[in-house]
Amino acid sequence: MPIRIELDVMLARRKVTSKQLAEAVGITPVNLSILKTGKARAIRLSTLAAICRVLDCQPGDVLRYEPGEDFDPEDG
Amino acid sequence: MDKLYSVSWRMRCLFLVLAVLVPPIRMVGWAYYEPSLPQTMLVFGPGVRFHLNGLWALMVTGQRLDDVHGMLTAGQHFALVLTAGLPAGVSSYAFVLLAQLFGFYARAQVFTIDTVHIIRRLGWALVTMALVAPLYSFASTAIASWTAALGVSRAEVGFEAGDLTTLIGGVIVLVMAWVMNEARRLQDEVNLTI
Repeated sequence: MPIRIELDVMLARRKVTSKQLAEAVGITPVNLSILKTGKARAIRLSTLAAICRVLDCQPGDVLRYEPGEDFDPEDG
Repeated sequence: MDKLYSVSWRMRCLFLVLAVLVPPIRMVGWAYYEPSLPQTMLVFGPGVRFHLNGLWALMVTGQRLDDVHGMLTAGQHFALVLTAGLPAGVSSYAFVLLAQLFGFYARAQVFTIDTVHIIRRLGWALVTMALVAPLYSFASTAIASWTAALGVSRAEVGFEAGDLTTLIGGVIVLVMAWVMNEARRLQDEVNLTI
């Protein structure tokens, strides 16, 4: 997936743990891990908005575009 | 979930047993099958004959040979055993695939890329079985009649209704594999949308 969600920097800056972020956003720690490891296929705007609210940041602070990453043709 | 596990495990064991048993049964059947005798008759020795009917006949020989005159020689039996190895091998491969598939079902892995690949390979195995059938009928009829007099020996190339059914079934299974793959991708999209 060319779009990567990078939470580690903002988590460190705001001194928030992954578990606290997951609870505050309303997702499970497993789903947060899926986001952090780049396995997510899509993120709801509501989830992104909640992350930005909790971490007091802009979407661009946690989203990064990396061109050139290949899609798995099996996954479309 | 327990029922899924128990049913899937039993089916897996059944298909593993069939994968192991069907090829030797088929090949041994051809070692003793005398197509010139009425119905499906296995001749194990002088006065030792065993008649099979229905599903047993189909499982042992897979194909009837008509218009064969006289008992087959040992060489013919041996050649028929070897040619029976081809469809028996494909059948065994299909049973192994089914055993693998139900192994995944027993672990509650139903719509995964592995099960899709297995179903796709199963579809191709069925298509292969149907396309190999004419070759098999050609070889077996030629072998069964190679000791016959000139003008009587023959080789048949047949594509029967059962082969057409197998071919259509194989194509349908391939389409089902494609549908399952699409369903798997949709499910992944849902599961991996946070």
